[in-house]
Amino acid sequence: MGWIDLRRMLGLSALLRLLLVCYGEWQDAHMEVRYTDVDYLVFSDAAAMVAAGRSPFERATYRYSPLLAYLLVPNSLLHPSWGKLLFSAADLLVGLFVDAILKLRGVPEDLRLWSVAAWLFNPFTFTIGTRGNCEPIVCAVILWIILCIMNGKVFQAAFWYGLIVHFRIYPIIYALPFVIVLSKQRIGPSRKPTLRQWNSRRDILYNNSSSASAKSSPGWNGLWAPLGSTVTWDTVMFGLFSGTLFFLLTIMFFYIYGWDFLNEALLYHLTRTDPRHNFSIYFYHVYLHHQQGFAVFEKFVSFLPQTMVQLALIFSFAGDLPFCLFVQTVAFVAFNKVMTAQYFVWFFCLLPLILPWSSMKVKWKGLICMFVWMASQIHWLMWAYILEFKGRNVFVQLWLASILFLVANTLVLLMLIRYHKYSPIFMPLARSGVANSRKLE
Amino acid sequence: MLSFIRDILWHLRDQKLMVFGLIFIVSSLIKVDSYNKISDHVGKSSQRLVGCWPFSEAYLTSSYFAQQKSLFDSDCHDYLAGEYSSGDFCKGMASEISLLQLSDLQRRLHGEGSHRHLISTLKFMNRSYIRSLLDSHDCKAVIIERLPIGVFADLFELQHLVHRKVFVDAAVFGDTNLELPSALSNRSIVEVHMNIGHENPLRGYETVLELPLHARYPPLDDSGYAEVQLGHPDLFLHCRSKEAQSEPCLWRLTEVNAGPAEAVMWRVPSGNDAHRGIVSSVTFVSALVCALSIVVSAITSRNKDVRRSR
Repeated sequence: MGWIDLRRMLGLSALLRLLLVCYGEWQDAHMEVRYTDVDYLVFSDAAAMVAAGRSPFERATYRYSPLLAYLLVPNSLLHPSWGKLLFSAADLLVGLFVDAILKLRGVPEDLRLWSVAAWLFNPFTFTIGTRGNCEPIVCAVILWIILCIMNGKVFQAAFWYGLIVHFRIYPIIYALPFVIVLSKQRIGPSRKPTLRQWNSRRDILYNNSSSASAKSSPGWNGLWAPLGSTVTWDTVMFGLFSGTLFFLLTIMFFYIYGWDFLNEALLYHLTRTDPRHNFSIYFYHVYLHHQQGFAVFEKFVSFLPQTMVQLALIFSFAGDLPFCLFVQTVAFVAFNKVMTAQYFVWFFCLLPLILPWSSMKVKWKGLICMFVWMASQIHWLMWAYILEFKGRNVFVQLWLASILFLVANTLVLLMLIRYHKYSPIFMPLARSGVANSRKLE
Repeated sequence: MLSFIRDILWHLRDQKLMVFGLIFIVSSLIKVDSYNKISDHVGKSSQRLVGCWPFSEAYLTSSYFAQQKSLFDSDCHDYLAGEYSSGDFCKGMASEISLLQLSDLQRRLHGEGSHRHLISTLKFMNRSYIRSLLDSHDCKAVIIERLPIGVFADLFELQHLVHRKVFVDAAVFGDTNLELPSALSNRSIVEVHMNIGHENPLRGYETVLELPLHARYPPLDDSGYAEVQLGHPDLFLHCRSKEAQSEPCLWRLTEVNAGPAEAVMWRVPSGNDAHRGIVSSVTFVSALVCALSIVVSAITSRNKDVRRSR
């Protein structure tokens, strides 16, 4: 990729996003089908309410933190596209953070640029921000937290983590891996944790220092002992500070907006079950039971697979933080009771962080994975179209398509796990001194 | 074909999946059989003008809700009929308006699936008279749709149409929730204000209201479909003199012909109660199998790493 560097790539991406925002304005004004995401109109209405001194929750279906409405107040004061530019800027920031994280981990520039391009030029991601979806902000903050942890800035990481869990509940699933990985960091002479560097050799895992590092991650041979060792000054501070910030924000907004805030921005997301069709395998089950409710046993059974998978992935891969977060997010979305395409961006932003450690060749295994994932999704969309836009009763076919999509997600996940070269982000304590001395030499 | 593509894009607006949308459009160019046309019945009735009241409130329906204090327990039609059934208080305009008559009201559903348009065509008689009336007055038709539980109108979509000047004004009263299924919902009322249409040389004056409606998920039904029946709207005319600063007046339109008009029916796919056991079992088993395969893969992958490192 000698013809382009990061600055040019970001410039090109910014131009592309600007053009798409302008095009969106034109399409909204001239065509019946809007380019702008319907949620963006909700955010904008909520922001207009805030600008008028009212509650953002007066806008029906606004189910986000009031902070989002505050961020978009300039939509009413400056220009309606302010939010889209803000989200697109966050989108570019994700590209910048991907490069920074990979650079810290010693990935060569050429490979970094390919990884950044996998985010910036993914058609799914650049349409998300320009249509006015707020997820790029969440992605940017998650990546910034990873950067903070890698740089040993625990308080800053805790601040952003508390804030982002308030902003969007789902990153709560990252709490345990963050704590585990923080308990493994060892501060070097530069007052920063010593990071394990990327190695092009296929046997990256099995070099001199790998023995200690492999043992340093919890693994499954001794699950409970490492759990005890996670209680360190850093992890306690991280937990206390982020938790306090989360509860302070919750109390503050509860004080300002009352139960509307608690019900819409928090409880709705925790208890959401949608009987309308969505990618989740549970939608038809929920629809068939929505009239009489759910037994405790049914709730437990649907909760079990998600919990099992999350714990298994955390205790297996927490040391390799970006990979752990990625597989966790894919699994979380796949086993969630509600799944819409917007959720895919949650793991798309983490994908570039794991590519340099994958030994899977694009040709043909990589392409097959992409094909399986997309084909099963398009297959689902076909049945959804027939149900929703043709009015034909294809509930059973659509539900089976959801199961097929879950199987596709699982297969892709298994392939990624199989071909991933496990690489903890931190050097273990026993070797960090050696590594630092080598670095100094 | 264009409407087909438009429908897909509309759907993908919710799915936020433009890239796959493009792929889907290409793959979906094989025409899908149209199916639900038989469910779109046509309703037709004739009406006339009676009554006349000074009126300056923004919405007629708001007075109903102000008095009832409940969402929709009693019939709004009875209330409106009782409230605006007789009287003649707009002295200046009563004689002028008496000649204005509605020759025809046609109703039909346009589109397929869960997102359709309820099209109401109001045709007026006395073309020469209405022309002179509209020269001296600003008139608009007020259409009040009392929606059944199974369908709803999206207030924000209606506001978008008001913004685009398709409607003069629009409001939704009652259960405005856009997401709940029928079993957990209540009824709603839509009030739309539209300018009286322009003259069509062949058919006289007519006003066409295209009201976007959406189906809720219906209660379970063994037949696989639920039928939602859309009743007759309440129609009013609202006029204000262009010259004087006079108070606007409202006229109610009631039926001339005694014969009941055919209702508009909407067939909505519904879940089948008989599927409950098998769907729950297969759902949970498949979730468990997929979860276990990931758990096993994760554990073996890490244990393999640890073994190799020793």
